[in-house]
Amino acid sequence: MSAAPVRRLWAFWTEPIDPAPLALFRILLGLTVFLSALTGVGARLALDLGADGLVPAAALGSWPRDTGRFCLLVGPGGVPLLEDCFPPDGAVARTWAELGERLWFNAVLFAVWMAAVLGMTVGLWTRTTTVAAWALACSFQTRLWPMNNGGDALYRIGLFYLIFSRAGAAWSADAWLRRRRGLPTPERVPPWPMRLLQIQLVLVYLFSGVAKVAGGYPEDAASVWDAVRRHDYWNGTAVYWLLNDATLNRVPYRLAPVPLAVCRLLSWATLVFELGFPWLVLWRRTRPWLLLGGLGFHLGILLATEVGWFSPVMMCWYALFVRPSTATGILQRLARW
Amino acid sequence: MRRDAAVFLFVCWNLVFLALRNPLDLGSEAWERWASRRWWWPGWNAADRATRRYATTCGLEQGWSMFSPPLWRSASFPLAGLEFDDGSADVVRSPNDLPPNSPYLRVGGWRQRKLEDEYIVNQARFDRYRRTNASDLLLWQAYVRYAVRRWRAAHPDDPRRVIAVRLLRRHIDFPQPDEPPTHFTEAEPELIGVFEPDGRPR
Repeated sequence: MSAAPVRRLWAFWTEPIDPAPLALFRILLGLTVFLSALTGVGARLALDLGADGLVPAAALGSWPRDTGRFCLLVGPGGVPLLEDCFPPDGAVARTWAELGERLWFNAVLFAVWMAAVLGMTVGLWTRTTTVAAWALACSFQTRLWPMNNGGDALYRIGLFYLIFSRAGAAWSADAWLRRRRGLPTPERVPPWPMRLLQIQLVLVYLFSGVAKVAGGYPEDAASVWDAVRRHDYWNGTAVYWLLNDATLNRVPYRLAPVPLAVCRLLSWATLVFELGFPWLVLWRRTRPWLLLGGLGFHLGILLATEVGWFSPVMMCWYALFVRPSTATGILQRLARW
Repeated sequence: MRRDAAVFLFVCWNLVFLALRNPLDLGSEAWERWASRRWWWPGWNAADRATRRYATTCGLEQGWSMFSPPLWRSASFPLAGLEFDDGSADVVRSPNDLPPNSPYLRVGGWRQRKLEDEYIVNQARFDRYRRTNASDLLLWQAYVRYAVRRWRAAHPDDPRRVIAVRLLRRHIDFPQPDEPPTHFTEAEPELIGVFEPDGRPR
């Protein structure tokens, strides 16, 4: 057996890489998290977390503790060491829980979160600010658990794996400060955090596609053919129903009536794109076209539906698949702008 | 060397985590029924628990099922029916409840939709939490007070006093592909629960 595939696999995980794609991901994700949190959490802070808010802290109950989650808005529970220092029945934990009911306390933590996200975006004390951005993202999302969507989950995961990367090695305030002090800045960084992030995105698409073809068959189907015929994606009506969904469509379907034939093509194209992504992204020749198709796919979702920041967050992850020269070009353009 | 070993273990663990958690989080009941009778089920269950804990603690939950079939054929919106001390009544609609045949442009409000869609109009959840007196019931109570506040803000000089709130579910069916795009059908709103104006369920 040839050793070449093993060598390539080893190189995939260990050969240092240009940090530009990671830096681009860090900046795009930081900006998106900032805007998403500002418009989706900050703008509703008083309504959701204020006095008599829509999501009372007491409604959390023991759910975070029972499921291993943590929420710095209501106490130290679930955070190793912190939890040991401040036991749940102690004075500090009790005061912390009481503060969690106050709008000003939540507003202060929100401001800290935004400062951390901006710090991460510009690459200032990158690892520390990324840890803070991730911990507060988890905390706010635990606190607002009935109001999260896939976009929130995706940026939380992105922040987590960014903690382990050298995302501040280039295009960052940290790199600029190091150069000013005459210290060397790394030209190449370990690849494994970026590989984990890439694999995560591949799995997002693969399992979205699997969920679409594996479920949703009518239980009263007379035969296999009948089940397939009535399945939203196989019969191509999925996009039609989505565009008609009066809880989330951007405009009423009658104002932008996409013909059923086009809906069918878009439904089938969604399956091909999601199930094909893991394989087509591996091949260098198909990768740019796949990413361009993906951008179109997510812009379409963004224009047609109001599902928060799901599409912009997804598009940030594409930075992890672009060539270093392309990432550098985008960053130079961003810097000029 | 020690650092390399730690990185190696961390990467391996995360690969195992991603490989296990993604199929597990699809949450197929048919699969669970089938697998629970197999000899390897206890081991699988242990892996499920370990990876679930890691996912929830680090915020790495998977479960990618956005726009999975069956897509919704209908929409439900909460509707608060306020009853006043003079015997009159009024309703407060959800801010996300835009008349489907009006020329709207929806921007924002998706967090409100998530709360209303997955909790407020979910009768099964409401009944379960009410039966068990779970802390989640506070969400419905807060929603009722929010509806009363919204009515009061819209009618600051109205002397009537709210004496009860009937939380209803408004249900509309979307037009079939062969029907005109304006053909939305609406059923009579269904009662979710009756509350005091301060949110306590009656």
